[in-house]
Amino acid sequence: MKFTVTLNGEVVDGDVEPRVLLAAFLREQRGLTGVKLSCEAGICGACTVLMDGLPVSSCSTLAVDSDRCAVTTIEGVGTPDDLHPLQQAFASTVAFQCGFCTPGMILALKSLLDTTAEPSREQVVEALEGNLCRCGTYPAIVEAVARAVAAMDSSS
Amino acid sequence: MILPPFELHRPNTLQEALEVRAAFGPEARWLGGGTQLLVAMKSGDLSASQLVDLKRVAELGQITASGDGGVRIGSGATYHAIRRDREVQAVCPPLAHLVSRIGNPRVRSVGTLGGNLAVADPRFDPMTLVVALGGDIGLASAEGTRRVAAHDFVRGPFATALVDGELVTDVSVPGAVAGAYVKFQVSGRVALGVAVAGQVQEGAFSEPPRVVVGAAVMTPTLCPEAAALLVERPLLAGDPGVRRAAEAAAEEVDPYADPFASAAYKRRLVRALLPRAVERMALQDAA
Repeated sequence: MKFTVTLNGEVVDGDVEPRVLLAAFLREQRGLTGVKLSCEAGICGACTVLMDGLPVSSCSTLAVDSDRCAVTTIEGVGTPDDLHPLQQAFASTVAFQCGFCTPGMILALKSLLDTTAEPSREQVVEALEGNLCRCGTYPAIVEAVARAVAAMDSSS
Repeated sequence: MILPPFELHRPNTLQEALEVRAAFGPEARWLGGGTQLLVAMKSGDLSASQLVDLKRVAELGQITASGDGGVRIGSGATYHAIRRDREVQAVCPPLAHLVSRIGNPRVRSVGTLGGNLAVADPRFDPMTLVVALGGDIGLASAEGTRRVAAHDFVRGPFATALVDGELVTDVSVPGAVAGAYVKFQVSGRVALGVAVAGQVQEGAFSEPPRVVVGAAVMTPTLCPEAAALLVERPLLAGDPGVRRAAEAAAEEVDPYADPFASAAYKRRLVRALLPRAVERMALQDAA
């Protein structure tokens, strides 16, 4: 089944069996291994990607359902030479240990910050409630968001 | 984990969807947001050789005012869309609040209220509130359409009034009904949900409202004795009459024991949560 997705800003044509999951398409056919697989049941958030700006579990989404959508993976957020404020804040706060949950965390937060300029702590925690971190870095993550918001504020 | 092979159908109209389903019979399953179905197919709990994707049937995604001051929520409307809808916010604030707290943010992006009600997992939140609000469910099949009151729609755990080939087209909730849903959830699945809804006049119920307990019971359970005890009482958690109603509700339900809590503990939760639901409802009504 054919589909066309705008993937990290690039129009990509795909042709897969309907059963192919979005996470598998992104990782195996597009090499976007920033999309992580962990629980594979939509619970942990490691596989989070943005579809038309909203976070979805790519492990439980059909690849063909991304037809006519814009999909963003962590590879589409900032570049090594030009980090997104969230990435910069995560780095300076050291809001990660193993880093496995980090792409999902950043995408969930990007979705929040793209729609809410100055989220309250409660809104941040709510936006992250579906992203699990086994290393226990949550307080650092919330701190990193505050820094990112401040940086985005002062640069605008 | 991978999905087993299936054929995917993507009808553009309700008519087309019903015809495809009728052609393939029970081997075909409806696919909405997929948060339930795809996960269950990956784990092998459910199988289907045909999936009928309803996401391109525009009419199922609509949220409209219904003629009587209520709101009709299409079964394909996502929690995200429902939360933001002005009609829902105006007509049914407790439902807007409930869908904002369901699942997790990713579930809310693609999951649908209609799909939730059709699955009728006893641990789910929405049915308890929709029954309390006096909502009804629209159904359609190749044979025609019908409507079923919410408390008749849910028949038992994972059991509804849906017959083979039928889908949920919408859920409608009436206007001018104050309501609240309070739940107890530590992690994972909900342990107990209590909903209270009715018409409030001058700060009290003049008629019995609906009191519904969910999650700790196999089917959302109406508590008419508790509801009767709420009539004319101040809508405060500490009111003796409200506490009596909570005691009555705890005896009207038949909670099942599980590894996390005994039935007796769940009854204690009912006694604790009903007063909170009453007070939250009163606060919303005043707002």
